[in-house]
Amino acid sequence: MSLHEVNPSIKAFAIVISILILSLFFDPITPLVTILWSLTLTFLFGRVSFKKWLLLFAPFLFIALIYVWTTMLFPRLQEGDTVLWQWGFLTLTAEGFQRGVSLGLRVLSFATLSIMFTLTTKPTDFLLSLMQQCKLPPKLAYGIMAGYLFLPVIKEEFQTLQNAHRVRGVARAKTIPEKVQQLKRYVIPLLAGAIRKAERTALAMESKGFTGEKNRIFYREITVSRIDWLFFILMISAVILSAFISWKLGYLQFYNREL
Amino acid sequence: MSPFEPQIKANGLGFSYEDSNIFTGLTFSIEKNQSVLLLGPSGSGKSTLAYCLNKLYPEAVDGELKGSLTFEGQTLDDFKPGELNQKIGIVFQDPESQFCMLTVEEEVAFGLENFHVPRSQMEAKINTALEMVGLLAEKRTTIHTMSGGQKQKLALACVLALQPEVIILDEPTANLDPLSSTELVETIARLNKEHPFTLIVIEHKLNDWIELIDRCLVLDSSGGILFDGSPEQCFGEFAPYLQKEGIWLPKVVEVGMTAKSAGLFKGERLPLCNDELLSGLENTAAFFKKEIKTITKKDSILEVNSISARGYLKNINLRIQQGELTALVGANGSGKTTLSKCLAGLYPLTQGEIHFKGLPLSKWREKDLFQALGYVFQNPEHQFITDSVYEEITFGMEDKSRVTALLEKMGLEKHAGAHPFSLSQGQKRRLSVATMLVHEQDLLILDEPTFGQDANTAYEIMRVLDEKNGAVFMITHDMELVDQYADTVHVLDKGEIIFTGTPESLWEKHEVVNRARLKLPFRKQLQNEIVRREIHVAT
Repeated sequence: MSLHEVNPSIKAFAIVISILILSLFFDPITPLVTILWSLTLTFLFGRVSFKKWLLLFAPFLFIALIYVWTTMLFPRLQEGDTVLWQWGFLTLTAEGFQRGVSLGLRVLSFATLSIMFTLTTKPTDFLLSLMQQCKLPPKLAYGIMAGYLFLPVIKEEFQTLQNAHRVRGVARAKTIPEKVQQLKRYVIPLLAGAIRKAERTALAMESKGFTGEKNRIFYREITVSRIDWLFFILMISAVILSAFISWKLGYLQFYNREL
Repeated sequence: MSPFEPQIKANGLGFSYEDSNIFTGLTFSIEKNQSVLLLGPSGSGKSTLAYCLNKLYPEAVDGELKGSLTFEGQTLDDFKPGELNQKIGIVFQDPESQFCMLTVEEEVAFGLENFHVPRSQMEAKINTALEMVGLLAEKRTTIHTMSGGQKQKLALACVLALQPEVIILDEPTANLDPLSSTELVETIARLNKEHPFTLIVIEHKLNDWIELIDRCLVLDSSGGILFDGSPEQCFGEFAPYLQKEGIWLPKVVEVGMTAKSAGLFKGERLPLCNDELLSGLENTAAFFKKEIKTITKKDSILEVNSISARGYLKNINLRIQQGELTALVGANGSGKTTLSKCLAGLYPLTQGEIHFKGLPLSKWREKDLFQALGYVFQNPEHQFITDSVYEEITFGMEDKSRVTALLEKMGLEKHAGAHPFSLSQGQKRRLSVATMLVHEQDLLILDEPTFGQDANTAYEIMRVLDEKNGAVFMITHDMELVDQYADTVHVLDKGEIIFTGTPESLWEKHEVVNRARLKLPFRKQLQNEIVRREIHVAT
């Protein structure tokens, strides 16, 4: 059993619902347990390289740390808060500390769930599944697919453009008006190139008889089986269980506009 | 449909787009299983016409179609959207922008899905189509990892899977190296023999196609029909007119023309194949007398000492000599563009050093470097930085007295006020070369300067480069250019230089030519043919 084989639409649905449930609560334990659960899943059943995972996770960790830091040190002081430490205008309260940690872990729980999806789902599979299970119009789905294939090309084009302008002797832009001028110089050829490529691809797709018609017979059928729903139930139960554990430990709190 | 009805029939066909006529009043018909070569100067609407035939146009653009067009006796309006595309397939020029799926089998399946082929039959159809073009082993390969030649074969397989009656090829070999081009043409010729279909070919490089074609349809620059008839008549009698329109000729015709004007060819019409050329030549020895360029030992302007870069180029050594034209050749993906960018200091090196005019590239100030060294990119649009042709040329120029002369030299004097992006493909290319001649750079590096150009522009560019003082270094797939203009040629294969020498000595090295997916130039092929015959006669 591998996460790659789970139906992409159901996987996405399970993760969206899990995130929605998580956002009802605001305590450190619920997201923490969920994080541990999704990490276990990702690395036991996802065949995910740790390096790749870390690369995606690092930015979220950074954001989370900043959140924790600011919420901890600049808390909204309320009557009856326990002050742990005070220095000048900086005040650390027990309540502020808990809020900060809750917020950080909340961000990280959303991140680990989303990364689990991204690293175990092929974009083509996801789009095929969205068309087959969720009735996404083929016009949109294949459009997204073609656009996705363009991204590396546009990046390459941008680098070539920079080099081409260096050769022409365009000095590196320093002031703001210069930068605006430079942006204009880049945008026109990039857009012209992108539009032309898009037109060509569209024409090629039409030449193969693509009309955007909704009833298609798909070469690769993305199926839904009982295992997919089992995964769904498992995911939701795990989040609810996390909340239950938190409640048992006496931490559970509903979200009440703390932010 | 009556048995005498042609498969495709156009009557007074015209197409206009944004108030300008692309072509008007075209009347022609195409019989079933005919192979038609569609010729015309750039901008004459060849591709537009092809897209009209299978109803991609005018739907896809805001254009207006006039006149009548029928397929098997039925007017095109009667076909439902997409319906005609199963009967008329098309392979486009650019291998990079005609796919929308990730893997080979998915891409072939895409067409089948569009036509509601039952899933149980898809696998077999995909396999058959891939087998036909020799790509069955690549069934699960990711498309973007394949070579240009493979991609074009895949595009052909996608079309073949739908079992069309007509196949249109819109410059299918434009982006391919010489050997891949020949292979693609051979594949098409073989398939056409096994399962006859109507073939409509738009192409610049005609050498390989000429034997496959049984009819030529030529458009002129104003969008009318210049010629419609047999290839023998088209090239044999009308070649000078075609040449005047800037239409590429098969090399054998071109050579025949030169021979005829020199009084060496006595055939009634110009030759279409080597046999005809050779039997019409009076004195083969006189014809092949090639001027041997006197090579004097010159100073090198750029020296590359065992550089490695980008994780691909390995231990490259080369020298560019003052006043020489150096060519860099090799297969698609052999690293030619990467190497040329390293020479211009645009890519960092992981190892080794490049000296330009005796100074390491790293020691040059960027501004000074690019006044002494020019680089013309493959896509001219990348290099345009101003809003008019005039400003484009005067950018960074102190002495503006030479502008007019330069504009005239490049045939751009009438367009001085135009926006660079509004120029035609040929004009854009000439402008991008002109901007690099401004500082009279000592070394000019060009990445496929004649790519996609009509015969006249290509000739003009090569003439300018040939006359230019200082050294020229260019990447090309065109062995005729190498044979005709280059003093030295370097062959790149998988990131390594495997040959350096004169073109003449390269043609003798068959293993290098094959390994780097090159081809012999026409002159050399012909010489070999003569030698073979003499041996044959002698035995």
